[in-house]
Amino acid sequence: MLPIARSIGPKRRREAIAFYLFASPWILGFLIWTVGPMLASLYFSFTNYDLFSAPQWVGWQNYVDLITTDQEFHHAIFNTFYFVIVGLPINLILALGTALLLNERLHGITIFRAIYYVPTLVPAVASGVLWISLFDPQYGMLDAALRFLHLPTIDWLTDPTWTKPAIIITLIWGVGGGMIIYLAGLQNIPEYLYDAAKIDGAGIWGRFRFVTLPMLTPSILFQLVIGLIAFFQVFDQIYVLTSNQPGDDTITFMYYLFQTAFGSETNQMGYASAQAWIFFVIVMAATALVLKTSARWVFYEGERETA
Amino acid sequence: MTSGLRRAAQVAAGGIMALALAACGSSGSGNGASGTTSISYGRWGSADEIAANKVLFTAFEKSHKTIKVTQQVADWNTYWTKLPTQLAAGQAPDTFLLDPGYYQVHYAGSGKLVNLDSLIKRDHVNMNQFWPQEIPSFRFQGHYYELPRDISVNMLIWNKNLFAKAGLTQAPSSWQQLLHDAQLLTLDNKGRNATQAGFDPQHIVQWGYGSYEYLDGIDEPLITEMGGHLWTQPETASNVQCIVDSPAGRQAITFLTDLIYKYHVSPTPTQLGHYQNIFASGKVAMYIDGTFDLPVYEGIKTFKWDVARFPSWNGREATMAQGVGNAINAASSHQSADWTLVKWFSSTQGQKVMSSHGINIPSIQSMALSPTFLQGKPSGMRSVIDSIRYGVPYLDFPHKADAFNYVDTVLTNSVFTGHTSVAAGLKKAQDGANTILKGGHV
Repeated sequence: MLPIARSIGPKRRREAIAFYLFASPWILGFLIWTVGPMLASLYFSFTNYDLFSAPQWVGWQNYVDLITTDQEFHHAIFNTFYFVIVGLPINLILALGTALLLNERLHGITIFRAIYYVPTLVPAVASGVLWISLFDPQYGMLDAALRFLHLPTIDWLTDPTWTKPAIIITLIWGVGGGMIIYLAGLQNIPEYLYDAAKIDGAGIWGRFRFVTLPMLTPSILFQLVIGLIAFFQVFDQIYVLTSNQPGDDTITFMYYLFQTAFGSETNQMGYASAQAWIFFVIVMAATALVLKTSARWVFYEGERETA
Repeated sequence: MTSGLRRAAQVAAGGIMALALAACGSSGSGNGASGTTSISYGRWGSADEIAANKVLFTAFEKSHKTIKVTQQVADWNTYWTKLPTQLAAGQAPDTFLLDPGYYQVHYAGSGKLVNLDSLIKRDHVNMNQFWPQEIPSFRFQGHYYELPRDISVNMLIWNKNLFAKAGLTQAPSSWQQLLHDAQLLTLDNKGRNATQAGFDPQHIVQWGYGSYEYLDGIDEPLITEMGGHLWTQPETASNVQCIVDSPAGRQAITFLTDLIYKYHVSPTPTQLGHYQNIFASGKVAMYIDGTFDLPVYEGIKTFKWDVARFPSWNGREATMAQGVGNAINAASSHQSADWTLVKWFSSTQGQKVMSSHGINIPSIQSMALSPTFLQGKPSGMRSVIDSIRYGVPYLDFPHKADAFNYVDTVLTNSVFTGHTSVAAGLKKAQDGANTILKGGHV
């Protein structure tokens, strides 16, 4: 029994009730439209619900099929991990790089920051349509640049070697979002740390390594967790850019789930629900891993350093 | 109550009221004043098909003053994503177009559609006036769930200008003739054709034929002509199996891929993918497509073209002939008005309006062969329509669409791209398809 609970007076209780009343729309929404459907989907994952007939219980069969025989699912998981392992680090590094570049106090720097940020405001489907024309082997700008440099042109969206890099390029186009976070983090680093480092004889790289990077670790952690979840869930770009092409090199987990639930002729909701829950466990595990190990490398100001 | 708490309660009450108001939606159909019934009709389609359908509705409403029809449209893919969710939510259109070859089992088999037998009998709808090839598709367990609306056939489209330049005057009627003609029509950048010495397959500027993987439109008819089938026959039996990995199957797919890799008369899939429509760009002299794509070709202004029927093999003919029909939503509250619309679409009046607008081939045989329909169509259209009688069955059975898609994917991704041999690819396709037909996942 918490000692605090016993000492809540009538005023505190009124405040607590007011809090819950104000938060009630959100809590209700969360219960009705997030938790409720999640529990329903958990139930359906043990059935072969096809949207039209009553669900029939099949036990663990969906999960067994997914883990053992469904090669398309394995391929989707592989592709998804590829995007996460290759795309996420590139995204993080580029976001930090652009933030460092644009952290200078120059005249008109805000225009450049805006230019880098604007792509994140374009809806994914609209940007996908844009990228289709950019990737076009005959009329697109990318292959035009390659031709200008006398390099062989690339069939970005049809050549199996290049479809995944093409998707990663479109995802990296949105570094502006991460850049803003890093800019805020950079501007919160006190000048005296840099002065102290200069006095100690640290050069540019030294100052980056011993002042900037450690002070930025909370932002990096945030970007890492958000980026992990976002890259695991890549769907829009694949749906727009490569879903009509031969080859399933870019089928990711989310796209395969969408196909199972809505693309097959029987709307296999039960099977798709099982996929969703397997993926939920994977993403939770990855996030928990990152958060658990974060204590070792993230430095929060105000903490006492143990000797 | 303190003022703070009262304010909180007001905020919460206001929020809940707003939520309740937002949740009130309006249903799609209803009874208007003075006895008009409003019903909704759903279909997929291109802009042309939708415009043609609007003409049909205007004609229908003119002769049926008490019924108003609103159209719900989506493109092909979205339609099949949207319709099931609408049906599950009870918000589907009153009547809709259904493609029975892939969806009959799921829709008719789960009680979502009205059984039309008694209505057909009561109103003496003559089922013999429709194409016999498409009628079986609309039956499920012996009962009719759709009335035929139109039928699509595949056709061989040929470029008259390129043919004339090569000294040819008519489209090939057999696949062997097609190969021969294609070799004359494939030119490299020095103007040599594929039969001439010094022909350079690395620098082809024009191909004779555009061979691509089209499982039900090209592969299946060719396999049938060579004596095989995709599925065990009859497809209405329980326990249908995939038998694409047969001598006929291997022969057919080998022939189609040889056109690309051995005879070099067809572009590779990568090369094909560069074009929106390779025939319309003038890069291939022959191409096979369904009649539903006629609007794409009717927009061609740079050369003359015509259509011919699917080529034969050793004197045997087969083709793709797929009908679509109108179904009535079993949850509709206006089933009598729905039936009036559905019946009208398949009646002489309705099919006559359809014949004069748009490119859908009418389901009533005499309408399809009438001058009203044939005028303005390419001169080879009559022959194409005559070939409907060689159509391979277009029937649905449990897990057919998923098994079909699997075979299609394996052939497209591995065999036609040259990554896998025909034998290995067909074995993989057949094994996977049979796993899926048993309810498994691959």
